[in-house]
Amino acid sequence: MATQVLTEFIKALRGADINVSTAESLDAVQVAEKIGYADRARLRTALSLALAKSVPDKMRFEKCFDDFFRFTDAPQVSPPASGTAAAMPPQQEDVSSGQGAGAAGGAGGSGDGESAAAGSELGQLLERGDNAEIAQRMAAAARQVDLTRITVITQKGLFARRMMMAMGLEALDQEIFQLTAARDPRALSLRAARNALREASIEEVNRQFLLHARETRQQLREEVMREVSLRDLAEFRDVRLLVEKMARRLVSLHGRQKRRARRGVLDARRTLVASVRHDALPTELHWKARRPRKPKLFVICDVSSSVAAASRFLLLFLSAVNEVLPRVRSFAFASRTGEVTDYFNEAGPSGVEAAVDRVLSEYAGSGTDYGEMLAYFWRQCESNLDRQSTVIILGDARNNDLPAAQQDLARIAERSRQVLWLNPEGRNRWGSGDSVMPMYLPYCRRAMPCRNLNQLERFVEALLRDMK
Amino acid sequence: MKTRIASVDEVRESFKGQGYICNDEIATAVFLAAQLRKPILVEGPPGVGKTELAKASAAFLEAPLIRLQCYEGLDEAKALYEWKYGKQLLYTQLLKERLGDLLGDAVTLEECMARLSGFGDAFYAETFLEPRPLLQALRSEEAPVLLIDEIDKADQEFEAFLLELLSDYQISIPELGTVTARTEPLVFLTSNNTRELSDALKRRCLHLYIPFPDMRLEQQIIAARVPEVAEGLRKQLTLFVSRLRDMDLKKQPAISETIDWARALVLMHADVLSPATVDATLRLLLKHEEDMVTVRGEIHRLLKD
Repeated sequence: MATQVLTEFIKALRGADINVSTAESLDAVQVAEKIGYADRARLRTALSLALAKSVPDKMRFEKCFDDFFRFTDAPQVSPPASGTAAAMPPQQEDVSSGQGAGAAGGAGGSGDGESAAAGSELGQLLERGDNAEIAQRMAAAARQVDLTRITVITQKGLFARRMMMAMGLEALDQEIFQLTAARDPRALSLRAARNALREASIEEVNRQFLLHARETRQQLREEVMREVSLRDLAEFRDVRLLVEKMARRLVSLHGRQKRRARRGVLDARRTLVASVRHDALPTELHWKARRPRKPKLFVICDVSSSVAAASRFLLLFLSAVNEVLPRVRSFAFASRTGEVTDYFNEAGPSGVEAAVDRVLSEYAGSGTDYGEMLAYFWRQCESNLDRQSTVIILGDARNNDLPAAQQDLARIAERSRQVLWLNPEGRNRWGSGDSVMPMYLPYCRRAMPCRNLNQLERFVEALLRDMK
Repeated sequence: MKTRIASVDEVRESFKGQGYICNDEIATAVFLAAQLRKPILVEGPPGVGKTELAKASAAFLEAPLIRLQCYEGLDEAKALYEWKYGKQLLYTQLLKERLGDLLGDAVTLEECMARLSGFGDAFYAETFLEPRPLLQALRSEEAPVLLIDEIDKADQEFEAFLLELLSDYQISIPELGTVTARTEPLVFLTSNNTRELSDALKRRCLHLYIPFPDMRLEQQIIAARVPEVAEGLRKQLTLFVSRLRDMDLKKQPAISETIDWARALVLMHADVLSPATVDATLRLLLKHEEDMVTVRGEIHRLLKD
């Protein structure tokens, strides 16, 4: 039973974004066995040692633990006191007594002593006011109906009722029924206790819903956010967190491989020369040092209203991975073009979002002229482009029937290592209407649609791999 | 090694007896690690007593302490084992004639090879093996406490190499096969968090984070380590240090620095913290010139009650 509680707790932890592996779950079981359940604070410390493996995780763990193990403070469902109940006048009874009179008449207790003996188990428990026992029953009932399956908020009433059924609601109702019929004053106090129990059950269901549905909800939400079109994404408040999470994953992935790639291949010439000293036995191996590449990155973003959302996320994403990316120069254009690198340098890592907003508002406009943009970029950066340069252009290539000036893109592609194009429109729309995308395609090493975060992540990942 | 530990409090009391004052979390971690034979990964800012914890644990468990200091470029040859090349060479030279005798009547190359292989891998036997800390720990007769210090300084590859040791207490050596621990060591890994450790490593360990102690705990530590300091001064100096830690400094003073400072104050016969004494001894707490400048201007404010 204890193990099941732990399993559920771990499920809740995963919902709170703490990665717990199966091996760690097993550790937790062992740890709990050693420490025991008597000392709550110590159990918390001990489980935290086994399950939360970084400082942020530990903070989340503590919150989650407190939420989860709250029901050890037993719910107050006992009747106020037997004295009060006895003092109640028997006349103040429910109208429902009339219905029950026929059905329960025979079984109804005639005397106080008798009815107490004949009462339901749950009823006795409530009358005794044994809160610890009641809490245990509730936990057992919660497991029996498996509250972890609750996914939609409207199911809460249903689950609460099922829980009470598992605790023996039927027998209790029967008892209240009979007591009422017999005009026993205890009916009233039992009824109050039953209501309190119902409230406690609902509260328990609520809590479980928050704990468990959070897991599915969060996963669901992230999946939705990754797939939804970038244009609608700004409405999600926590999208920034998701972008950071995705970026962190990429950074740790690519930061690591960089270390491995430090040593190059065997330098046969130097190894042979060195071996002469040892009777031509190659005892010392020499390696070619891998020449550090210094890639340059140029990002040109269309910020006209139709594409601004995509530009926004590309810029956010690139700043989030700036740990592993080389120096980036960024440009923005709509009706006019300009360099915005300094906006980001001035803002620093904390002000990225503000910097992006500033870029978007200052360069916003309509009537994009791609030809003009390419010409501007060529003028500005011709001398800086070399075989290490990657030029990324984000835009829909809808040129308002102006000349495409693909020869400028050809020059840029010729001079640099590669041109990559991100288009917020799907491939099937490239070339439709005023889109000049097909004219640019031959000069792009890769062109891909970027309509949602998943596609954007895939692009940035490929870019990082390529940069090494 | 002591195998029976009654409770978390026993650990705590023993540590206290050694002058290592700790909170419940640290004691629980050591208790669990010793009971479950799981490695502990200890993280925290420099100078909070991570290495000290391993030493105290070794003393508590009456076990020998084997220490491996990590650094960039640390490899198996330095951490696990190495062949004694010099000895191998010397032996081959000395045995040259004997070898000549043995091979004397063998005519063909095949025959010589067959004879040689008949001797087995004499030169790759245990006699020529130089055990380094990790192998020492595995081959120790008595279960030791193995301290792998500052694992974050070692390379990623080394971390991966440790995984087998941490989960199964065994290590594979190509020439010898798998070496399994005679007695399972209690492993402490410490990290200053200069880089993120891999999930695989974290998964195999209990994770203990030691933050800077709160004022009450730090007072107890000072009382245990520098008993000469009077109570009033003790309170004053821990308050001062905890305020320093709230400031935006390049390097925050650690416990070890508070202890040094307390010792210095005792030597100077200071009974109370005055701006002048603080100013004169500040260098013991702060290790950067910029920090000194920042704090000097604030001494009066920091000393206020």
